[in-house]
Amino acid sequence: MKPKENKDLTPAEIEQFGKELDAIRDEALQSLGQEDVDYIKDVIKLCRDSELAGRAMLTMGWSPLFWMGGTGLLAFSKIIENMEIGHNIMHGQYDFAEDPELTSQTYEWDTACPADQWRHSHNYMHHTFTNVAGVDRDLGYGLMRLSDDQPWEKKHSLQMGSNLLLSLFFQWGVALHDLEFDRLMSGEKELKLDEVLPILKKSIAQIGKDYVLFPLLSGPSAVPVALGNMTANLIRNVWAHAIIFCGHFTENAEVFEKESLENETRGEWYLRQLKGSSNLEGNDFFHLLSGNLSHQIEHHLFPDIPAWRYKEISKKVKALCEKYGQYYNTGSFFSQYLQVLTRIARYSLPEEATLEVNQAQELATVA
Amino acid sequence: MKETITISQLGSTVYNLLPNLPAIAQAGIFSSHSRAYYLGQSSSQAMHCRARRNLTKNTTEFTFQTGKGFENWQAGDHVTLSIFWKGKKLKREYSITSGNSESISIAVKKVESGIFSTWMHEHCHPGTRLQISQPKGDFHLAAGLPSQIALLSIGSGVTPLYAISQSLLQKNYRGEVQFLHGSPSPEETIYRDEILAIERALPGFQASFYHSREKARLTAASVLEKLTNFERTTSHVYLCGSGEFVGPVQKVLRDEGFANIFAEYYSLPASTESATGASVQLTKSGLNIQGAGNLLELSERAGLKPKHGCRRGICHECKTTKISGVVENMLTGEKSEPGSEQIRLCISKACSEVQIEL
Repeated sequence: MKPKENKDLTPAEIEQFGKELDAIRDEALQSLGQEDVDYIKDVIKLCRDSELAGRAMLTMGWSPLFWMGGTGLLAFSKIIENMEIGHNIMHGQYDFAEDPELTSQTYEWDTACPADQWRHSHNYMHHTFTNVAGVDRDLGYGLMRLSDDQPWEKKHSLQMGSNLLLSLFFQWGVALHDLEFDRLMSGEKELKLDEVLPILKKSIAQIGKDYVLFPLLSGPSAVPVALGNMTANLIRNVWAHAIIFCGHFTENAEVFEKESLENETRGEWYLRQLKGSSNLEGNDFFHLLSGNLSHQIEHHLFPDIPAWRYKEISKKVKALCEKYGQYYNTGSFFSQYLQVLTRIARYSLPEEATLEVNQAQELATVA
Repeated sequence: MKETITISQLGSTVYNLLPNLPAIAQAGIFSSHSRAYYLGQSSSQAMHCRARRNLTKNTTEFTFQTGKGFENWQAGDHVTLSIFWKGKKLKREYSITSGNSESISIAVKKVESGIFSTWMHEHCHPGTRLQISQPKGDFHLAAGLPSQIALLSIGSGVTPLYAISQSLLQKNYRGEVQFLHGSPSPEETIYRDEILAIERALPGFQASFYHSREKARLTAASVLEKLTNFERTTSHVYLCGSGEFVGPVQKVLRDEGFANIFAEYYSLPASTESATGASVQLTKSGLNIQGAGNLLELSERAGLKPKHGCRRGICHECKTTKISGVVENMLTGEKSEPGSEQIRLCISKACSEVQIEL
């Protein structure tokens, strides 16, 4: 589906559009400094202190009040560690600071997926080939069908359910993502030990930490501690999944064919990033919790600019979209997430049925 | 008195209870940085400027409040200061000129078209925070003081020797010191009054100033003239300044038979002249590559397989340490600093001789 507001641009216009975005990028890059380092260090402090306070409270987890407080703090800490700190540092957003703590290639995050594999599947595959059917593996995560460009298979009829499972166990979905399960099954790819081993090690470390070490350390509170850790992981999983799906699979987020990658210019790449992403509106706390991925458009245009600056940058991007007649996809969390769920439901139907639903809806909008 | 337990105290208690986890489990509060944070050993060294004072018309002394690691610095040590300029980290070394365990001072001479020194003069005021490295260096007073010491410097090379002079004063050194310093004019002499004060306080300390604008340059000849009575084998000679000064003087003194010469010199940054096909040295593989393309392609052509992703500057997967040399960012046309930093191979091309950790 293509939003009607999108104007078709000539190659010259696309090039100009790209140049204007480059100018926004350069201006932001030139202004990076101590302010950005201070910001992320403050968030890191907040994250550590809330993890510590949460874990400390959970040791008294036999009291429901302490259990809820501890679990909430731990979930909060895991969310900002994954979203605002880990994801963004690993993009190289803070590499300019040359601080060992903020270095993209050595950061290890608090989730089941080994950082090294994430940097490959996310920074390279997903960010370079965003929403290109058959190339960007984040498009449906090998489980779901989300556009007409993907052929319908039997498994897709159950994709409302597989989406719910992916949401609950998102960190494991992400951890196994780089293995490319569907290609393993079809025999396109062979399983290699040096791919599996890091995942195994990291999984054991994460499980060992949350479900063995901490419960044992807290003695009589072992059971509430393990339950609290599990709940915090669940909350983080559901939240991260929701934010990420809202970023690319809302109703008007476009999907592209493989051919669009042939001789793609920088301007065309920018345009594809814009069309394939969608934003979420909210207050500053919401943006922090989303790791500023609520500004998914800006993140995909400028993946290596510190994310907390996207809010400022978005004003310029929005103005540029107006100038070039391009749709700027944004909305509230509730409406965007509803669109995602509707889209998953719609594409669970075989090709002809989806087509019919799509046509019916188009007619309804026209009327 | 009521004791309050802060979160970081709680943290250090937890850390002392916990075992060391394997590297891959070191995330969140288990990361080494987090450990350092809770144990109060954070590597973050942003320090407040406390005061600034004009030394000459173009040289300013900056005093910084220091933290951990500054308890035992020695006269002659230097620190690396970092600033952010146009989104890049710039680093420069400055000798500590004076200070104690709580604060240190450095002297910055404003160099024409010098980005760093100009930034310092324009933007560093009391309250400004800068990243300052731990003190380091090997230009120190040698153990076991001899009876004759020569301290020779030109320009801002005076800064470590001024610190060493203070340390001689503190030790109440009774031997002979020849302090020879060259600068354009008396007004442009850094720490002139302070050196003269040390001369008054130490009977064996003799300071001589040479001014090029008064046609009296400090040269190897004038040095030898002052050191005629110096015992060649036992006396210690300290030299600091530009390479143009230190090199020839060091050679003449060595030829004269001086056995203990300690030298430190600063050189101008490497030439950033663009030359297509500059030579690139790959330190890990021992290869040398040359050509006009980007460093990723060139190293692949040489048979290496560097880690990489998008090949167009998006994903940062090909980040590699450049040890030295100037490279150009092919997306922006911007030239890098000559020092060590991380570069993206796929969008970098060599502009001077470059060393890369590959």
